[in-house]
Amino acid sequence: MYPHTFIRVFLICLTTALNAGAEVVVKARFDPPRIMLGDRTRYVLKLEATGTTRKSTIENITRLSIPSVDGLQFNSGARRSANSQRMSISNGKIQHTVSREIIVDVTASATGRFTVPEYTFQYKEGTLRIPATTLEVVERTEEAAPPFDELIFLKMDVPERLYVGQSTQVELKMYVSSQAQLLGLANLERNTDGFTVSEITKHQESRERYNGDDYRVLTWPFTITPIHSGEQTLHFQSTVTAQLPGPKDRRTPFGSTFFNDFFRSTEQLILHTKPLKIQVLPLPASDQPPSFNGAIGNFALKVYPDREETVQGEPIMLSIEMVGEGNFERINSPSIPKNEQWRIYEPESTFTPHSENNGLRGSKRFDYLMVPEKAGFPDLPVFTVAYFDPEAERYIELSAPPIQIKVNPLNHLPTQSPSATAQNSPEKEAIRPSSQPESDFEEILFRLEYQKNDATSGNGQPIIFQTWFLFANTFAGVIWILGYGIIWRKRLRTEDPVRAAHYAAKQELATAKKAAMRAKDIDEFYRQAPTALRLAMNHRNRQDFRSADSTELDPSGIDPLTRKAIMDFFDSAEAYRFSKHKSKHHDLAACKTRFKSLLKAL
Amino acid sequence: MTSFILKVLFVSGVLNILSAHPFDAGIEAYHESNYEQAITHFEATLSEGESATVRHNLALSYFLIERPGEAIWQLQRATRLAPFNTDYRFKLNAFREELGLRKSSVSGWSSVIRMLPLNTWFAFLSICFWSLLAGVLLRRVSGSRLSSKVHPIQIVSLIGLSLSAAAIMTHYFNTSDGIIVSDQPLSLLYVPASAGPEAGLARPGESVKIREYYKSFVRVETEAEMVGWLPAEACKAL
Repeated sequence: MYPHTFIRVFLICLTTALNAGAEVVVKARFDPPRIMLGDRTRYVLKLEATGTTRKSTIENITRLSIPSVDGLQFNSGARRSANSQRMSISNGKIQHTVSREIIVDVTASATGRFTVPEYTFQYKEGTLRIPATTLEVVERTEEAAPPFDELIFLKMDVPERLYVGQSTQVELKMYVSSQAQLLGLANLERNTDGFTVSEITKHQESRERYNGDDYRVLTWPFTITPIHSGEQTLHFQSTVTAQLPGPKDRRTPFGSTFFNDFFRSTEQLILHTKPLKIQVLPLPASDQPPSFNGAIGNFALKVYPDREETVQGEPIMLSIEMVGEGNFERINSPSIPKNEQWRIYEPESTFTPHSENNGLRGSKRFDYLMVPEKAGFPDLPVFTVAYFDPEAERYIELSAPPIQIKVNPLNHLPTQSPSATAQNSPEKEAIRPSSQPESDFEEILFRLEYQKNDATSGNGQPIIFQTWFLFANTFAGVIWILGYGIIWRKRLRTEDPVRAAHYAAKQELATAKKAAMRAKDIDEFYRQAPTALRLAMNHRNRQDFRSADSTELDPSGIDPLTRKAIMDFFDSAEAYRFSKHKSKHHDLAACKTRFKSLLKAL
Repeated sequence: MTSFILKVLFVSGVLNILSAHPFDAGIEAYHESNYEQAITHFEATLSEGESATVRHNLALSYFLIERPGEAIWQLQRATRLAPFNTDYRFKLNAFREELGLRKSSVSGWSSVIRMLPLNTWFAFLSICFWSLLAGVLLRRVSGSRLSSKVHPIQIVSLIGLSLSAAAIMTHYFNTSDGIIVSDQPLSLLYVPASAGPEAGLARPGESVKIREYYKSFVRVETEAEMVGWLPAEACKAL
């Protein structure tokens, strides 16, 4: 045997040995193999690889051409796969089994037996043979539950024709029959190559009657814009979990309605729209005007400045606003031809929708900052904007009438307010420095005031620092403090009996003292003076001495000499008052002086 | 003899002119369209004490010599001195419109505090304070209930005290207001340096809030809420 022959044989054996550990078995079936017309089944292709020495793998199959069968519709767009692994020990040998299932939803359009013939497909470096499999479709019986296509389904209406760049609002609707119950809803998946799709937000709910049945309808509104011409397809699908009704008239010993729920099946369903095809036409290029800025729809144009007069070098804002319905997000700012008289800056754009739910209706404004280079009446650039009307199938050009802006030279006051529009009276003339005002308004405006007797600020010094104000407040404060003191003392006298008595005594003493000092003769003096002395002792000792006799008259706290003098005074007074012969030797003035000194001592 | 009389008349005339009050001289100069001279006379009048009338006349004179920023400052001072004078406010708004500024709007509270000059608010405050003190504390001191006629006085005093205190505080907080007295639009700068980058534009006559001073620059906030630095001489505080 030659060496190369030996090598070849060795490789074949090795490959065989290796492959002997990873045998791939292919099975095909319909699940279920028997359905009623209107129901859906699944075509399941199962690849299983079993290995003894090592784990096998099943490659992902990207291309699978299932032979077409008349009467059967394979939904290849909703193809999915499932993988599994298992290990078993048989007769002491370990076996690893890996399987992959490819599942395609199938519906039938007629009753009968349908067979998918045997076919092959490329797998790794070889081919695999897929056996034939048969599906039986029978007529729908009356007692059968309605097909789930009628219970829960996706529906979407799209226009038949659009232009590239033309935005349109569409609605994806999920219909849920009143007989079904939606338990869960996964995110929407879509295949919208060839379109840009706006954000799909939370659905809106409503109720609708469709084909004689009541449905709960979940609606997702959004906008699509084709970006490629030709026939474009849209496809949406959603995985839902729903509880579907069982067969009708299922009887139980306990009645048909109460236990119906036990016979409802919870299923995970994949809903998808029917293929939605839109013919996308390119925009006509032959008659596209240069001012076309991508706008497709129906628009009106507004052009307006923020002021009609300015000063050389002072900017104005020129706004170009497109209002209507169309693809606002694709509308670019109108280009402005270069102009020597204006320095023009790139605009800022603002889009304002007319309603939150519809982004196709509204207005888009472009604000251009423009600075005049020269004084006078420089020409504003002429603005022309073209849009494509898909209904009229032609371009429409819009232009604004010419706008005149007055540009004053530098060092000149503008003769009109920058924000003045229709509010200014057209009759109001510009105010110019003039010794002879030309209008009544100017005369009023520049009329002097001739009387200088109005409010002044008093040398600018606030009042709080002025002498008279400080003096007035100080005086008020002093008056207040004095008044406070007086009222406080009065209140104390009122509330405290001791204090009240003391005060009364004081008042009485003052009266008596006054009477004694005003006495014109000795008789009256000696009548009043002892009373005053007793009251003085009352005041001093807070004791009532008015009716005390001489032995009781003993004011405390005074020196013996003064006490003796007081006693002598009382004795003199009594002696004079009660003697039958009044002595004329008593000197009134001396008595008063003596009396005063005694009072002072008390 | 005749020449002597003529000399006497001449001298008395000169003396008369010399002794003419600057206010009247200013009016005369204004009517002769000698606005710079009128400004000189009116400003001399200010030495006797600031007056709304003098400020008003100065405003007209400045405007007529094409110094609108200074004119608006003078009129703003006049309106602060005479808040009740609608003529001043009308002319102020007319001048502002000429400069492309919006009408000077006064908030409700500003209208209230400008009803009275600052000194009047001080006097009102002191009166309300003493009467409120008398009503509240004397009642406590005397321990007796006051007559029902005194209650409204107390309430009025309390309201007056609050109002005048708030008005005085607002007056002092508002002293940070100023006016751009430059005759040309000025660039606001990000930094207090003449070569600093521009932060915006300040227009002649525009009201600003003065934030701080630094060397020869002042930081302001314009009506358009732009903040930046300006040369200090371009802005005058009210």
